[in-house]
Amino acid sequence: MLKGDSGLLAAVKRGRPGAFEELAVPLADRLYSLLAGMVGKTDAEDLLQETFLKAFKSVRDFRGGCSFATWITKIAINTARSQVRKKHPVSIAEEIAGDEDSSGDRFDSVASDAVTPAEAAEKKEQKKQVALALAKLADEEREILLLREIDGLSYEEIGGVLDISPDAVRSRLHRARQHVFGLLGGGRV
Amino acid sequence: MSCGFDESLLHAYVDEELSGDDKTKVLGHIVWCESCRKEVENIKKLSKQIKETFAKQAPISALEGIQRGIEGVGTKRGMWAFKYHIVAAAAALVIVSVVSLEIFRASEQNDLSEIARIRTPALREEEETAEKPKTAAEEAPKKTGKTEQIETAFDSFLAPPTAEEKGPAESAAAVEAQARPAPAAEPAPARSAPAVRKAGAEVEDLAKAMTPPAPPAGAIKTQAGAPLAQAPAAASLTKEVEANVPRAPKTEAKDERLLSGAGGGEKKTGALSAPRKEEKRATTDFGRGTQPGKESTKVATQPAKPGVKAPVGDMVREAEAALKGKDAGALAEAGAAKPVAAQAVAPQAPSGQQTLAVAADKQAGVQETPAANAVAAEKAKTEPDKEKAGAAMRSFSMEGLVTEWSPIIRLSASGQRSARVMTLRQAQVLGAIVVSVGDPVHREGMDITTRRTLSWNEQMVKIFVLEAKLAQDAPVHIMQRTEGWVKAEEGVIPISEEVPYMVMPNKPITETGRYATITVVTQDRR
Repeated sequence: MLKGDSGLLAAVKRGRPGAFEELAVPLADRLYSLLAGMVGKTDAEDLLQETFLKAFKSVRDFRGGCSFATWITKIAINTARSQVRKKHPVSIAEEIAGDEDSSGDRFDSVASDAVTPAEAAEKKEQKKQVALALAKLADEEREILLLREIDGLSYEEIGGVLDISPDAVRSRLHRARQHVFGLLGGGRV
Repeated sequence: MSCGFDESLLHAYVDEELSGDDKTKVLGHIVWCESCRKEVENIKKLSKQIKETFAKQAPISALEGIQRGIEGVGTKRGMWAFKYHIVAAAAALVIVSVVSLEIFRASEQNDLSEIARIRTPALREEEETAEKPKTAAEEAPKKTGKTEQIETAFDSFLAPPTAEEKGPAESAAAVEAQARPAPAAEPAPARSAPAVRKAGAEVEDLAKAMTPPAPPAGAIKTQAGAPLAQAPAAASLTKEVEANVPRAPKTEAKDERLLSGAGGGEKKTGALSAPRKEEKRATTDFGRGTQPGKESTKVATQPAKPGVKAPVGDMVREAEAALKGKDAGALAEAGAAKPVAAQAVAPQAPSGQQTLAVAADKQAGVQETPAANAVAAEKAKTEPDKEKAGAAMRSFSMEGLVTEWSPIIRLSASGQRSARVMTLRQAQVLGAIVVSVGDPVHREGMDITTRRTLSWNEQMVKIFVLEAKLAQDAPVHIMQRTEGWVKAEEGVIPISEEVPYMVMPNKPITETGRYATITVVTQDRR
């Protein structure tokens, strides 16, 4: 846990107004991305709110065995799992792929300055393929990939979130990537 | 893979999860193995693609929803905290009331006992004997039942006392009555009919003498009426007393036992140096100090000093003085409890608003702008009284599309979120004003905090005065930067009212070119 986090966490537990927001809001983008990858953009917003609310309600019981980020990510994953079961994977993939057309994410605005229209179109198509490939993965494979690539969590942190060992994380991650390579055709991006 | 190398090691290497031998092993392998080198490249590429595809920014509406949810929960918690404080205050009030009542009662009892001491000199002796008739009265129904017995007992009760019955027995009865206020086990061995008669007579006299029925007098009257009604009991008591009349040596032994704390069992026959009357008076006085039972016990627990023969009067006076001192101490303690409890319920001097305001300043690192200071100085000139009264000007300088989630202090202009931010929402909680201002210059501006493309609808300055902890009529000065610091508006803005403020198209309000700059100067009460 970061030094600042522990101080903020103590402030949250003391009930200082705004401390929770200071601690949790910087994680909002990451969690939203994770949730959007799992359930699609439409439901991700609601799930994000639900995650934050759950975290706020139970933050006083948080013992600090892991980082706050890991803890709230775990809440997000558990919140999303119930929703994932209700949705068809393809619809999630289409939703994610459809997002690319709206060019609403921050990377587009940065990247669009450096590429030609043809390159941009190609890039967009690649993203769509990746989104579809991930949507076809098993839930546990998709989760672990998103946790690693979007949240940038270490194997140990991922293990903390998913309640598995770092070795299991390594093998599961390897398996998930191989699966994605296979889905992308020819095995490679 | 054709080379047969452990692929999971390659993935772990890309994820920077390898160290030591494993890392060396991978590095040594990919130097010469082209397929594994390609695999590493592919893994890196896939990671980048996934990031680009899925990394999104949480929409403002989601953040607002979170804030609303948290505020809702916080309000509930706040309500609980409020209820807790109410209960605590009520409990403190009850404690203070009870303590005060006890002190009042204690002082009242002291006064009454003093009155009793002054007004009933014979009461001391009467009290010594008063308990026995009462005991006899309780036992009366068991022992009587025949009219003859009643008449005989009545006659014997009214008969004049003999010389033998007076004196030692009476003294013994009086002393024992003090030493053992409730002798349930012993069937009144030290009681005598003369003592009862004497008590009855004196009490009757006393009842006549006393005017309004004060508590002690009331008790006496009840007892005064007892002899007639309790005649049979008194008669049986008389028989018992006649059979067990204590003699003088025994009385002395009891006196000594009483004062030395032997409490029974050990009987000393040593004569006491003090006269009997003095013993009685002193003991009785002592017994009436506040609560006879307790104090008798206190005296009885004085350590025995065999061989030491102090005058009884002196000993009693010492004990009495010690007890009075103790009473005074207890009263002082009880008195001291009152101010402490009062402090507990006393209002706290610094208000929560002040604390929050100070915290806001400290945390936000409020930026003092020259303009704000100038306004503050101007304000101080025009309203010197307010300044003297403690009102203070505070200013916040904000840039960009300031939303409630925007940081007040933005350390970097590159759009990176600062590690130490305080959102305007928090500032609002702490008593600041929340301002939202669009980019009036560029049609396609971008919010520096959210990196969201602005639409034309947002090219309007909106001044949100949310639920700031300002008084309803707190003056709010809105400064707008044009060709210099010009006071755009000054006046009262109602709390929670959204005030749209259109920017003049031909007068850009910014010098930085991309983002608007607005300074809000608020005046609140510190």
